[in-house]
Amino acid sequence: MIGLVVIAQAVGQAPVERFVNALGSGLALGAIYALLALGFVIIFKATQVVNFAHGGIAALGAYLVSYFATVSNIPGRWMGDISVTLQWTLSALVALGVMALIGIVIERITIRPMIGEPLFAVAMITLGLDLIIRTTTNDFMNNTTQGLGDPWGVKVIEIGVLRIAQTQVVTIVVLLVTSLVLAWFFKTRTGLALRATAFDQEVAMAQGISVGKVFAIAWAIGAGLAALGGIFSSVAPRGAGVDPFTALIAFRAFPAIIIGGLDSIKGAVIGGLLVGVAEVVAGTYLGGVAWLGIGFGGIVPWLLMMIVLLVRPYGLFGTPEIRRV
Amino acid sequence: MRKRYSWLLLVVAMALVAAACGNGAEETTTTAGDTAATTTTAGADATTTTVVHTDDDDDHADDMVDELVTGEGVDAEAKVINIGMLADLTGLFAPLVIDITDAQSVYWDILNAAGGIDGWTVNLIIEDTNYNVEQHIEKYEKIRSQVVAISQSTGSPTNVAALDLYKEDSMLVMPLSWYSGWAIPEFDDGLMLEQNSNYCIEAMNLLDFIDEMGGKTIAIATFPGDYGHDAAAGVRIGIEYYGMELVYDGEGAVIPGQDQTPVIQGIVASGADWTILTTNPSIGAEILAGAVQAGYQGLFTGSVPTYNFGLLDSAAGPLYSAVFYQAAYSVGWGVDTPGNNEMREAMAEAFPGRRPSDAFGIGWNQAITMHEVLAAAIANGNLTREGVVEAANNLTDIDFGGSAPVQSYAGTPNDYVQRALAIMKPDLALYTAAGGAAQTLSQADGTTGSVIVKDFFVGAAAAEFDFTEACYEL
Repeated sequence: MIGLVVIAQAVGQAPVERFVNALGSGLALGAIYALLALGFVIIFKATQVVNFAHGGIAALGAYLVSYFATVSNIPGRWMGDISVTLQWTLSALVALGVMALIGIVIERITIRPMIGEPLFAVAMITLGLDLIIRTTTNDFMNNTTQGLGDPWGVKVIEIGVLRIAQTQVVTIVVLLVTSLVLAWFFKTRTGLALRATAFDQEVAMAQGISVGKVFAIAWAIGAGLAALGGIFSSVAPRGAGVDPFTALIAFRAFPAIIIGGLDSIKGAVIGGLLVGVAEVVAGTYLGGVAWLGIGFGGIVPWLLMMIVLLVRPYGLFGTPEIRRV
Repeated sequence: MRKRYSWLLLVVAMALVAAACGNGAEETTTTAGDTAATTTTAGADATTTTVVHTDDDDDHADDMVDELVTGEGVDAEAKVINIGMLADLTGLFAPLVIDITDAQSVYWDILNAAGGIDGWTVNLIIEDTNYNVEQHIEKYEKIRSQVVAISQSTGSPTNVAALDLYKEDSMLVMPLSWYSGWAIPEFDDGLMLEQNSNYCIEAMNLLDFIDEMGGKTIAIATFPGDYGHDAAAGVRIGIEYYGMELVYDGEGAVIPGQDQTPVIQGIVASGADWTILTTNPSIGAEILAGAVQAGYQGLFTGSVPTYNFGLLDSAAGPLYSAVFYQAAYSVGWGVDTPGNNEMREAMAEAFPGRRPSDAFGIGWNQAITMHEVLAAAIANGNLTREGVVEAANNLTDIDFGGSAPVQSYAGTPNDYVQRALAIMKPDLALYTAAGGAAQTLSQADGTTGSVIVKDFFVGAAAAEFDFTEACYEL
């Protein structure tokens, strides 16, 4: 209650533009969380695996964009005179493709052999994978910050009192497009197979669905989405590039995943946006309240998660597990 | 001739007595060449090496005897001094520390090739600590009996954690950390040989520069911990001294891994003339770019570790070139000073294909200081750890050939704490024109893109500050 009063006072005292800008920044951060949450949820939904390697995959994806766009100019070097934006976009798409392949390889080598084994053991394998991928990625980039060379840089768009970075607008647009593509995908034959496998693997197999193939597709999509989250968390104004901290973004996205519901695509998007806005708005207005302590904004998503779980243990849009006792 | 043999007999007799008194002692007598005899007696803790200089052409009593007490970490027979480095070669500060370590290695290689220190070879024992407290302690335990001093030890939390071990061993350590407490003997027993200014006094000098530039209102944003709080303490002292106003207080508010929007919003809302950052480069860039994007019109500066020239390669490069002023303990790679030129030449010869780095100068200057320490210890006749500490704490006027201000360690903290700082400005155009990230050390016009806007100076607040205790108590 006291907290609500503080928020109300703070909001009341602050100019409109402060709130609008915090909202814009929160939505952009939420879009990053949502992209990460989508990848996590798709893997969990299809395979029941809690993927702790998501952060490492996100950082590796961002590093690949940096490498392809700023070091090797792939595929731009073979395309003649093209615009910087197109060159970067193509590099990013190649990186996403490579990440999808890496997702398939991870699934085939480390996850598929564990089918039928305790989920805890599989989760531990992903934890080990995370360490391996993060360490290797850090070695690739010499533990330094590697700029992604994106065409938007630090350019800003002004709409009334809102000042928002172009990269942040791009992040929100990418989330919208990705959500639409996924909505379409789940209506396709492959998407239906994925949904059927998520519902019941044995029944899906009985219907002739190749569960192994579905697993591979889920990991490919999941790794690609994680990479998207890593990319947008590594560009200005969120960062100067991909660095050893980049992988932590997946940990920050965790409340979004839980709040939305571990197995809900819709929940991942709404949960991500909700958490992003809550974190930034709370940080903006409560960061200066001394008795709340420094960094209170950072714990708001976790408080929100706890409250949601107390009321809805399966998240806002998650599927309740029914057990007969 | 008879007299020479009598000296030798006396030396051997003394050595035998010392060995008998020692616990588990061993004795080695070495005759090196035909001009000197070295007798070494190793006790449990210390070894006395008596070098008898003789002249075969002169049978008269003009032989000179220099006694040099040595201890752990020194091989008196082989005339090798072992010094250690506890370096973060794989952790968060690896890019910086690898360059620092390599610069030290090159320095000692050149020195050894030229005959070492008075004939003593210096051997570096390098251990990777990964900037991890546990590994730092583990690696120190590994080398503590092998070295006489540590010529570089990365980090504040790591060194604070190991401080009691250093005290147990009377180990002289050069920290790669600029916490103000390292200059206080009551805190470190005079074992930590801090180089350059510290975060606190550096911040006072930044305020002096801001005052000169007409700034009146200040915002600060720092990491929590000794780094951030030490710098913030200096900022507060400077603000009071220069009659400025702190309009945003983000001391300890920059938490790695968290969203920085609250800090950015705080800076923007404050409308401060200047913002002082005490972060690492990537998070500093996030705050700087975020604030400028949100319409902040002020200028930025920050503690030395806040900036790295690699930021000029990032999207934020133009912003740094436009609104950021860089604090500097030593001049950048491209700056023309005798000391810097000597270092550049040596590094270019050793690593012609490497990329320029401002960190080379830090390692090079650390090696110069350790060289002076060891030379003084040898001259004093005491190359034990205690002797090395004693020598270090009496050194004055170490000259780095203009690449860093002259450094002393004798007297009280008020006498020796380094109060000078330089201000540099990143210049993206200069950096890009020289080849940017594609530059190599062999390139004569190589630069990290920083130009001096104010050469080493001591601001009034820093000059008058009575430095008797750490600005921030751990």
